[in-house]
Amino acid sequence: MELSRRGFMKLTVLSGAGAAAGYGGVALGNLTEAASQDDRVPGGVERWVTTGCDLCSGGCGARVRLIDTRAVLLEGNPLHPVTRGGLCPVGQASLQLLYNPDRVKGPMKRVGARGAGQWEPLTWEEALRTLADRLRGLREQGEAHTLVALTGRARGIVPDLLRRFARAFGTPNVTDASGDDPSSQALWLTQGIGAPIAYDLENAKYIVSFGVPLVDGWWAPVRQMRALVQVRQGTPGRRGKLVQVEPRLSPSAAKADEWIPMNPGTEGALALGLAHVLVAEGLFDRRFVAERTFGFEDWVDESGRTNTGFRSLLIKEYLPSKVAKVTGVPEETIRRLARELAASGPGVALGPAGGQSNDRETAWAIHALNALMGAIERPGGALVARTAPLAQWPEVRPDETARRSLAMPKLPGARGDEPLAGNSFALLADALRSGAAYRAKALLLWGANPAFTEPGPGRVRQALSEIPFVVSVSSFLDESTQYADLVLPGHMFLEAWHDDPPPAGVPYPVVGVAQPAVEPPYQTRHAGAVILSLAQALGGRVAEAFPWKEFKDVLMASMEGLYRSRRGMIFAKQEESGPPRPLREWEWAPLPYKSFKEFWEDLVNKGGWIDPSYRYGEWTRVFQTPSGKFEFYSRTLRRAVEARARAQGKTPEESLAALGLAASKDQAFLPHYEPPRLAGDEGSYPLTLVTFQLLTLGDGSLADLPFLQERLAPHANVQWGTWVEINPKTAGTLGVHDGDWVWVESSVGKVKVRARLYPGIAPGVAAIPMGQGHTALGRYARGVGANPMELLGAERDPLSGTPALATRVKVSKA
Amino acid sequence: MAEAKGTPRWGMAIDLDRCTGCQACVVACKQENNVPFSSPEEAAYGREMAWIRVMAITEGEYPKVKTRYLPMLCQQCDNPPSVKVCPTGATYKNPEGIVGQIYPRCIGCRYCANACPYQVKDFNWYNWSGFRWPQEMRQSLNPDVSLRPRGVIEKCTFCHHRLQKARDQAAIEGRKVKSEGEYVPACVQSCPAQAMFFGDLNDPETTIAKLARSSRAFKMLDELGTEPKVIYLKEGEWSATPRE
Amino acid sequence: MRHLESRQALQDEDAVLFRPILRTGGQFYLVAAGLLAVALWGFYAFSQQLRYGLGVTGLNRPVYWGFYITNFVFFIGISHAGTLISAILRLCRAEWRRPITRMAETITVLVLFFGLGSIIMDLGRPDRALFVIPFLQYGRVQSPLVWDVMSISMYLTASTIYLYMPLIPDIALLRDRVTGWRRGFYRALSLGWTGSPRQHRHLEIAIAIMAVLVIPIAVSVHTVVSWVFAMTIQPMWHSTIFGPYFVAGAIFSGIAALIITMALIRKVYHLEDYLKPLHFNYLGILLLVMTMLWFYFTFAEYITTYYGSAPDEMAVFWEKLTGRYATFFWAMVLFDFVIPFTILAYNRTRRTISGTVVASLSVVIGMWLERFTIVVPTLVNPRLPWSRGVYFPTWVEISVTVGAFATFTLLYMLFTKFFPIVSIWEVREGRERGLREVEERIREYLPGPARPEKARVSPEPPLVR
Repeated sequence: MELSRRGFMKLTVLSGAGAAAGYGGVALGNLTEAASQDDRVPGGVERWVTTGCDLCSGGCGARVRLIDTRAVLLEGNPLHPVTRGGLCPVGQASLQLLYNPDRVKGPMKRVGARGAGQWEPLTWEEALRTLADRLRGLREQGEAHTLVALTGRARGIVPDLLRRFARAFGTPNVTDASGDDPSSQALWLTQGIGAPIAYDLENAKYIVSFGVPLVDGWWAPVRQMRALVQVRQGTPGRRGKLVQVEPRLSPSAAKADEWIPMNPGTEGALALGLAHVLVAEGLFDRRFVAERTFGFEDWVDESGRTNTGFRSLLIKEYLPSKVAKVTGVPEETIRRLARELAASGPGVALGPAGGQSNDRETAWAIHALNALMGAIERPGGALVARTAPLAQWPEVRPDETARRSLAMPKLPGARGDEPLAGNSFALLADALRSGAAYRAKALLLWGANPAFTEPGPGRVRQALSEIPFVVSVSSFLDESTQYADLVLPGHMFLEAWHDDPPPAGVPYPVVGVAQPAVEPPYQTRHAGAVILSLAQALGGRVAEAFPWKEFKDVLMASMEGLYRSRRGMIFAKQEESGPPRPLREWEWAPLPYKSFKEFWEDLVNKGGWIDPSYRYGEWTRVFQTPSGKFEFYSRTLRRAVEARARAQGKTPEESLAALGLAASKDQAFLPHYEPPRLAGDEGSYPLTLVTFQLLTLGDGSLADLPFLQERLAPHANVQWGTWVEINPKTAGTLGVHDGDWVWVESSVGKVKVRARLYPGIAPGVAAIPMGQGHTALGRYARGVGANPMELLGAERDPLSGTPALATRVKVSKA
Repeated sequence: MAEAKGTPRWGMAIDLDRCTGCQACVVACKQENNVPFSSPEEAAYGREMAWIRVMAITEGEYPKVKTRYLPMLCQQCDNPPSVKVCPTGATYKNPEGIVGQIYPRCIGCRYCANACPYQVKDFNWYNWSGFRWPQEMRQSLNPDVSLRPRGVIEKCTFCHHRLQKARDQAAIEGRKVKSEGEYVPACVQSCPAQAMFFGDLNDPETTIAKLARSSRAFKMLDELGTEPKVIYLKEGEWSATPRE
Repeated sequence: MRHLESRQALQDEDAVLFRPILRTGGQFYLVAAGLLAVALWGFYAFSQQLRYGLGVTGLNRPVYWGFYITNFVFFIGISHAGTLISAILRLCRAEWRRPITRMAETITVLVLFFGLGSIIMDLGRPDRALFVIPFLQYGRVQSPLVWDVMSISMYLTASTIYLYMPLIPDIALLRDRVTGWRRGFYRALSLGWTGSPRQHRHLEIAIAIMAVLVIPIAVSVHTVVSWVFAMTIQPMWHSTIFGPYFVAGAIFSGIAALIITMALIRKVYHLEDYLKPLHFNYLGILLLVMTMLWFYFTFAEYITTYYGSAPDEMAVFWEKLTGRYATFFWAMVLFDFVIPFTILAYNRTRRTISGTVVASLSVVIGMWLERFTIVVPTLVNPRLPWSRGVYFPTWVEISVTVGAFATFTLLYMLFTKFFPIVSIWEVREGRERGLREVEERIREYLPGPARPEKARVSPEPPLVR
């Protein structure tokens, strides 16, 4: 008995040891296998192809390094006059987009329920036939206007083609997801031009940026980084100053010489406070104000009524003491800033970046400040960008069906002719649900993902599921594409021709032309070519509007305008090294090309064309206002309001009152401060939430690039996630520690994020970056972080209806 | 720029006044050198890899707060603490002063990583090369840089493969590599703000040699005597000038 | 005849020392199976690490070293239990050493494998471990890690010889007592030992030489272990007293480990007659001295750091004293000083076996914590301010560590099943010759009438001259 038990135990011990030895052998085998694994990367013939980066509106030139047919590196194009070989992290990481394993590899149609993610592949011919049949049906029923087209970007040839298609087809409902830049509204209100203000940053000596993320993703980031270098180091012995005014110490604020924290959404008040000091202390540019502006002093209109001038308004309403209370910026700082601005001129004021319900008023006040400083049309000031002489396409001749549909009223949110009309898919989504004049019957998504990027994405998702037919031209199965009936994958930017229109903010025209560098490996097509094919399939006048075979033809047709203009030059080496040359007037030799073909080849090889001259003070070009001057008192706005009132059958006063603006009648047409509208009451939601974009993620379409997910923002030290920045003091009262999970809750939703205690944010403010919280898109984005858009959408700009990107929230430990 | 005289001593200068912390250099480096990306879990564990990182430090209390950015890469010390301790000579310094890593010789003891006061050496915690890149993404790998197996240390080599290419080109043309502009690491090449400079420190005429003499120049942890060849330039300061 | 008689008497007298080898009870197998299970679990954990890489541990950037290196330093420290103490006691001719030297030496030899093993476990490429061999492979003699490799292998070799040589007479005894395969085994190992005076003389000279040699090697081992850290410029690693500090700590933990081992063996194998409270008391006094020495070194180390106030050093300093590692630090002070000092300073507690054992357990725990608080807090607080590390071991590291302890215990148990854990011939020698010698020696020390007379000098050659 005793022996057998011992024997058994011996056996156990021995077999255990044997098993261990065996397992060890296997484990070691694994190791050696791993060690000997051949991980050599195949070599090949190296080749460089000039192209361009298409991932934001910056329009950076790029060149791609190819090994045989593989793209292995994207670098800045050293010939590009604005970026000079620089490329931001997004461009550097873009090969992960090109070679992303989650790309849509061919056209697909939905087979399951909407959003269930069940798809069936089909051929392009089938897909285009399905789409054309459906659209033809709409036209046959006289409902062409029920087609809504949404493009993910506003500028360039593809969106132009889409707008052209809409016109030929017969729908007035085209919009772009990007919304309107507040500065273009300011320019429209004061100078009558609906385009972003071009800041002559390179020549500026003193910049006050009202929350503009100059170096983290705004407009053309590389150009702005270079400009900043120029401002500070460009002139020996003189260092320009950048003052950043915003509630949080953003990377741009960190790079500023001075950061002035303030209450969110009160930038306009601060700008007017500065204006007050300039006026009260006589520091403003008297000559410019006297000669080139309208509405500074009190004035009498045609009806004999005395209107308040800007000066009176400033003196009466915007005393620094009062402004200090509103903005939280000490009175002393306001006075000092104004004096510095006047003394270090030419100063220029930038902003805002957008996101508050009062963006328009803020931008207006800021631009009025520029006018007071005389920083309009002056080196280092605010300019109006010259446009590129691209060839105009032949006029569209809509047929009878199209004309009738085009006459239908636009749905709210569809882009209008004047910047006051909203341009927002969120608004459109609301209209679709609440049943405006008519319901949308088909939706074309052209590289747009409103179910993720719009505030209150829940409502967008609802609207998407209610539209009978949704087509998405997209490279990924993103959140919106999940609702599509048909998915048409476009080429990726290195696989296709594309144009880089002049980036916002650059005063002179720069046009990039990018050629394909790699063969498209999948069943994808050029997004522009899809429009051409679709038009062809519809036939008739729609087809006639597109007399081109392929996208390259359209591109060449447009670029021929540059050749014909006999101006500018093709990108070339810059003799001197260092930062880009300051903007200056330039003498030009005519382009040395014998034919367009020759011009085109050089254009493609060098990457683009530029006409880097700017003539300051072309007053008739830059002031397209009723008075022909810079208007402090906006007659442009007055006209628009009157027109709107007429359409609604009301008096202008009634029309204004219906909007619920805080400003009085007198102030409504003058730059004034409109308090930001924040959803939720202060008692339940004590914190103000501001949202911001990261250079690395943009609006979220880049969240599928693992290189960028790792590099969200150095100051927050967060990777692959979303955080909320709160002041340690605020956190103290909430009992929240750094790195804790917290719920951020607004009146419309809540998200779970990590808390980052950040001294660089005002107490009482919380900030969340956009771009995460994907429920679709791809393996690297899905399930990472949270989308702050879920908290938004409750409050809007009263005039345009564009939702604000700020709200009241409460933060609690999760 | 002239050809190098004698043996070059490659160095880098980073102007912190220009650097905006955008991290283009980081991504460019990872793309150029086949540095693997992480997953959320690995990153949370501190296993994310990069040969150059942008460090940020926030100092002060609201509202007087300042955040500073500093790109941190191998300082390519002339007296590298990591080389001293390496038991197998996997970490070594070449005659031109570049501190390299021989992956097939590294035993993965991580002694060099601990000895380095700059924390710029990365360890391959997983068998990255085998499974990290999906088949599609493998296409973007650079054939000039070998993939590292699991269990070894890797680090910035000043894009040494680019030097080799430049040398080959120079040899074809029967000359030496130019002391500036011909051989440039990926990070320097990419910098959107042109905050990074590269060249031969032994040639007094190069931009970098001039910057190294600037009053703004400093070296990280200079007091340790590691003699870095990465030179930083302090941020400038604005001062109000009286009205003229 | 006399020889035979005494041998018979001896057999009866020391039968208890042979019993573990000749008879193995069910309890042994039960314990062995339990330990084997734990060891296998540790082995499984390690195989996971081999398979998936060091990613399965809690190590990260910048905490590149953690449990394994802590274990390495700890095990190497424990190794000083044996050879060094045994050698010192032998050289001092401390007669009470006789029953404990074997136990101590065995600890050394076995634990050194775990010290070396810990390094190999810590390697990213254990398959390349041999690369560190200088001259033949890539080993660079300038690297402190290579010093370690050389020093430890030398120590292992010397300790093994030093363990083996005094074993030979005992193996011969066993050879004559067993049958079957074991007889052949012991015959091979006994190297033809007959017990002749010539063999005895040679053995004693060899042991004496090894005892002298092994001391500097042992000191060097822990010195170079400390130099792995001290040769870097990392805050609170770069310290001149690390060498002696580590050696003192090593002896400290070594004695503690020895006391625990003695107590266990005494209990399990009923050796109350061999391991008396006196042995524990004597070792307890040594432990008390080392406790105070340890405190002195620790105090010196921290006070100089504090007065120097270099910011980088202070970051680590405060991390240990008040920061995230404060629990470990103060536990270390408690276990390494407060508890053992209190127990050992009082005769009443020190003179009991349980007293010294409790003190020793405390010291062993404390010294592991000491190694941990040396390795990790420095790595967590690198000189440059932006990366602050966190380190938590994963199940793999904990399993491997526990597995290593279990394997060590198992191997030790197995050793006792093959070889007498008390040196039989030395005990015998003590009885037969030691008594006389001690008396003579004491007489030599003393002045005046107690001087030894020529006639009373033993005709047999003295043990060591």
